Parts: sequence; structure tokens; C-alpha cells
Amino acid sequence: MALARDAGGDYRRLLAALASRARWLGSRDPESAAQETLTRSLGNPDSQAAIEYFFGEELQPNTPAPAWPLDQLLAWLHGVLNFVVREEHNRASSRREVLLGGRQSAGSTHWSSPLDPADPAPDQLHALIQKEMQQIVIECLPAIDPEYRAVLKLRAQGLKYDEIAVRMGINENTIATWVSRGIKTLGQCVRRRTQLGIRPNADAEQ
Amino acid sequence: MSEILDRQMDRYLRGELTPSESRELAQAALSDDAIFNALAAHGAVEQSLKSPDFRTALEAPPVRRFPRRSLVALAAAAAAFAIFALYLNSRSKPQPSQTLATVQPHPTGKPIFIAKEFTTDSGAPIFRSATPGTRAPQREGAIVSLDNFEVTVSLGSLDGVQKGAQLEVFRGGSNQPIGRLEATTVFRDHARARILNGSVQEHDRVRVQVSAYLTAIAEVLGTDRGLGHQAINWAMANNASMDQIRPVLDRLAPLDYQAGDIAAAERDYQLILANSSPPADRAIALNNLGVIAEQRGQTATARASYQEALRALTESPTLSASYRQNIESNVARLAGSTSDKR
Repeated sequence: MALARDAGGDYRRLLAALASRARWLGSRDPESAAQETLTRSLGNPDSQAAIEYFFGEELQPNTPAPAWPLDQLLAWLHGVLNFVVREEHNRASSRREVLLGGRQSAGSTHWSSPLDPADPAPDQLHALIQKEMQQIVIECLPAIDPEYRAVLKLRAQGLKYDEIAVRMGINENTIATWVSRGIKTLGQCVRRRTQLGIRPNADAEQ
Repeated sequence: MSEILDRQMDRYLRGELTPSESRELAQAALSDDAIFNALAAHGAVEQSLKSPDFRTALEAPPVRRFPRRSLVALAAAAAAFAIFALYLNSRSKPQPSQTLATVQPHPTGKPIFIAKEFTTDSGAPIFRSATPGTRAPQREGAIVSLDNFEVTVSLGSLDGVQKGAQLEVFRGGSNQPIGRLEATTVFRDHARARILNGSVQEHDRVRVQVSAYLTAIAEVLGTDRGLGHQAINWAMANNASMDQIRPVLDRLAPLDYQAGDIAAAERDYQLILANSSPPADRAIALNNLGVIAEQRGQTATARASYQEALRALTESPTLSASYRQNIESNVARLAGSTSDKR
């Protein structure tokens, strides 16, 4: 994908952090993976606004908070980076085979196959990443206690803390604590799963 | 993560940070993986709360847990260990996980249910979620295009196809193979393959090997237990070997148990026992059948099952000591009880 602009110009620390994570995820070219992740993120209006807000050089006074809070932005960046690294491995796997088959034109370093998955548009990419992360969270549900699960269920239905408190007959502060602990427990499980699990697709590496 | 940052994280999660403090935390996350990971995981959970799939999953019966009020200190120690392990994990490349792990934390005085950790042959943890919206693994696909000696088939890694795997080709309604392919490049839902033999054409049917298909099913088994039961029924109807079925059963049985479907879990473990499974698998199955029997008040049956599990363990000396301790703990707890309640 050709870069429309130097996406890294203003975000060197962010790029360095992403490159470090890409290296950990097994990227063969972590700097490019980081650059690609940032480029894709800047192509999505929501993540772009959040990146500019949290990582831009200066925050103008009275700048409204972005639609995405910091945690959502970081979850997105992690998801995009993981996606990019997986794509990289898929390409590497295909390229090895094509080189053996002699399809690559002489002197050319660019290769693409009609069978390569098309680069998803930003909203498609968002949906993909959301689905993947959601599935991890769902798979972590057994890790939380029944009381936390009960309050999360009501919160997921859109109820406020005081409404949950009335419905369950429990103090509102307790509800807030349970929601917080439930999310924290799920978060720990998700963190463990993403650290252990989201690795480049083994099929593509073969 | 320093204490100050930890406090800042807590304030962030409570929505108390000012914009400039949020930016400081964002900058801190760039140089501290623990902060980045904690925030990213929190973001994923918060997003999931808005998802209909998540709400549906929450509606499912919760995991059966045992009372733990008297175990606060033990739980705290386990949590501290888990945090320490996470810290170590965040500092280094992930190591292959243990082969076996307990589903529950060690609840003194309560039955301990044991499940296998799912790993690939290389020891890497299996992770392929059954992403909603994608199709389930398929045993059979078709040749969708043909180019000299190379074809594209509608089966991919999702269906258990791996590079180098051989696929049989069938034509029409016949079950007699007319050719054979070898997968050369594998994508999630399709693959390219070279023709090893036979005269194949577009729309011919292709099949992945039974073992690969069942392994693929096992890998995507998440909350959809129905998929696992269908696969088991299909495999048994088609005379698949126990070695081929076991990956699905190993995963399905704890899922059945966790979903509160004790009868299904019992059937799964009985099926493992009814076939010549390795001692480790037998030990797990016997231990968990003991747990199920205990839940039904069948103490004598449970004790006998635990003791048999211990015997199976002696045939598999490579298993971890903690694993043995869990079964011994179950046996010791029932010492003195002599009869079933009913």
C-alpha cells in the first residue's frame, strides 16, 4: 500500500512503541508494520481523531475529547497491528511459493496475487478487529464470578448503576465496585489471551 | 507499573482524569507495555459490553463455581502469582503453556475439575476464535478454479487444511476419489493446491482429511457447543478413530461442564474412557467423572473414580506433580465416606 503521506512524521514515539510490539508479535519488518498500522489508523476518522488528541504534538485549548477514549484507541491499535503482522506473514508465505514457481517478474520487488485478501477498508477492518476482540472477551466470560457477571449483564442492557442497584437490591457503590472488578477480571483474562494467543497464523508460517 | 501510574490508571478507569492527564497516561502507555496492555484489554471489554453477541453470551448459564468465602487468602495468593506470571510474561516472549491446567483455582475442600490446555503439536497455544459471521469448518468443498497444474479450492485453514496436506477429489455424487491434490498455499477460507494425480476439473468436490477437519472443529469450539456435538456425531457415524475424535472431545467436555450440561460432559468423558485413550486422558476423564458423581451426591462412585484416576496417572509418569496433587486432594477429601447419598 503506498503511503499518502509520511504517517510517522509527528508520531515517532507511537511508531517506536508499535514497532516494539510488532517485533514481539513476530514481525519480520516491525518498522514497516508499525508504519502500516499508523497509516491505517489515520485512515479511520475515529482512530485518527483519538490519535491526534492523545499523541499529537500539542493539544489546543478547548479541544473536544475524541469519540474514542484512550483504552479503545489502544485496543484498536493492538488489533490493527496484529492484523498487519498476520498479513505480513501471509504475504511472506505466498511469496516463497511464487519465487519457487518463477512467477515474479525479474527485477521486481513488488508482488501481489489475486488470491491475496484485499486490504479491508477502515470500517471493515474495524468490524474485523471488533469481532475478534469480542470473541476473546466472550471466551473469557467463564473467568468472572456470577455476581460480576450479573451486574455486567444488566449494564450491557444499558442500565445505570442506580437502576442496577434497585433491581438487585444492593448498594449502588457495591454495584460500581462489582462492575469495575468484573471488567478488570475480564481485562486480565483478555490481556493474557492476547499475549499468549494473538500470534501470526501458524498456517501462514508454514 | 509504578504506584503513581497505577493510581492514574484507576482514576482513568473511573473517568476522573483531565485531558492533559489522559495525554500523560497515553504517553506513559507508549513506554510501558503493562499500561498499554491493561488499557487495551479494558477497551476491548468496554467495547464488548455494547455488542449483542456479548449480551447473548452473558445470557448463557454461568460457570458452576464452588463457594470460596473461606478461601480469600488462598485466592489472594493465586492472584498475586497470576499477576507475577503476567508480569514475567509481558517481559519475555511467551513460552509454551503447561500441558495441563486446572479449570478452577485450587478450592480446598471442594472437588477440583481438570481440563486440558489446548496446544498445537509445536506446543504453541491454539488460538483461533470462532469469529461470528465466519462459517464453521467444513469437511467438503469444491474446486473453484483451475490453472494448469494448480487449483484453488474452497477449503482453507479454517477447515483444517495445512500446507502440504493432501486433499481427495470426487466427482458428482460418487464417493470414489478421482484424484489427489497437495495444498501449497493456505488462506483462511480457501487454498491453492497442485494436482498430484487424476484428471480434475472445476466444481469437483474436495475433502480434507478427517483428522484435520476434527482438529479444526476443536480449534473453533468456543461458546458453540452444538458444533462440537455435531462433529462428534458425524465422526462416529463415519467410523472415525478415537485418535481423530479426541481433540474435539477434550475440548467439548469441559465446555459442556462449564455450561452446566453435566449429562453431556459425562457422556463425553465416558466416550473417552470407552476407547483406548492415553493414560493422561483417562486420568482426566476419571477425575472429572468423579467430580460429576460428587455433584450428584454419589460419593462412593466419585471416590472409586478418583482412585482409578490415580492408577491411570501411575502409567503416565511425565505428568506434573500438581496435577497428581489435585486428584489426590479429591481422593483425600472423600476419605471416610462410604456410601452414596441416594
